[in-house]
Amino acid sequence: MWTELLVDLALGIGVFFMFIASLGVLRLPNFYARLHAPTKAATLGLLSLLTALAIDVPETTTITKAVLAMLFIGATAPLGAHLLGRAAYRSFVRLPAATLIDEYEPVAVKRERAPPAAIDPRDE
Amino acid sequence: MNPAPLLGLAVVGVGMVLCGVRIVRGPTAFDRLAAFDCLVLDAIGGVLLMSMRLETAEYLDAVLIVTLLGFLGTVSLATYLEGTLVD
Repeated sequence: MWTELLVDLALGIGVFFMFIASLGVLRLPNFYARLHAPTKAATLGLLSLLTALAIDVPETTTITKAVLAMLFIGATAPLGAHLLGRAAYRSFVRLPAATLIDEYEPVAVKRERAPPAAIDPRDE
Repeated sequence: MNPAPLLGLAVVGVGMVLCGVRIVRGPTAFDRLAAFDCLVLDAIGGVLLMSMRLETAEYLDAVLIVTLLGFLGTVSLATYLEGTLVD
């Protein structure tokens, strides 16, 4: 009885956040805002769904695999979003006009103007 | 039978459609890539809901593999679009 209630609760939270993530991808106004939605909301939704499954089928293998999947998702989602945001910034996807501070700009400009690190002797 | 997983599948399906709209519409390739990432996560959620509907945990291996494949696809496409892919 109580486990079923817990499973339904976790399932509802998970589905809600998955839907919010998709809605954010569609509706948010610019690219850097849209990047937030799948990174945070979908991760939370998937963690909740995995919890629901682990409560629903309480075996050792299930719980181990669910925890493993949680670790994978928790590690890979921020990495992928970071790479995407950096690639978009370096490919001159414009920041929204309301941006006040752009802390990455000096670093990116410096890196652009830096001389090549070393000359390959085979080129000479 | 518990109707909650089926209802959840319907909602996640609607979410996949929303991501598909962003993939079609997205102004830049990066928007499409982010939306595709979200689509993969939605598909994983669908697999989890389906395995809850069937009362089995057989599909958790598929969940693990699809997670890693989605990450691999995102990373490789992002580096390709950035132009720093080492040949």
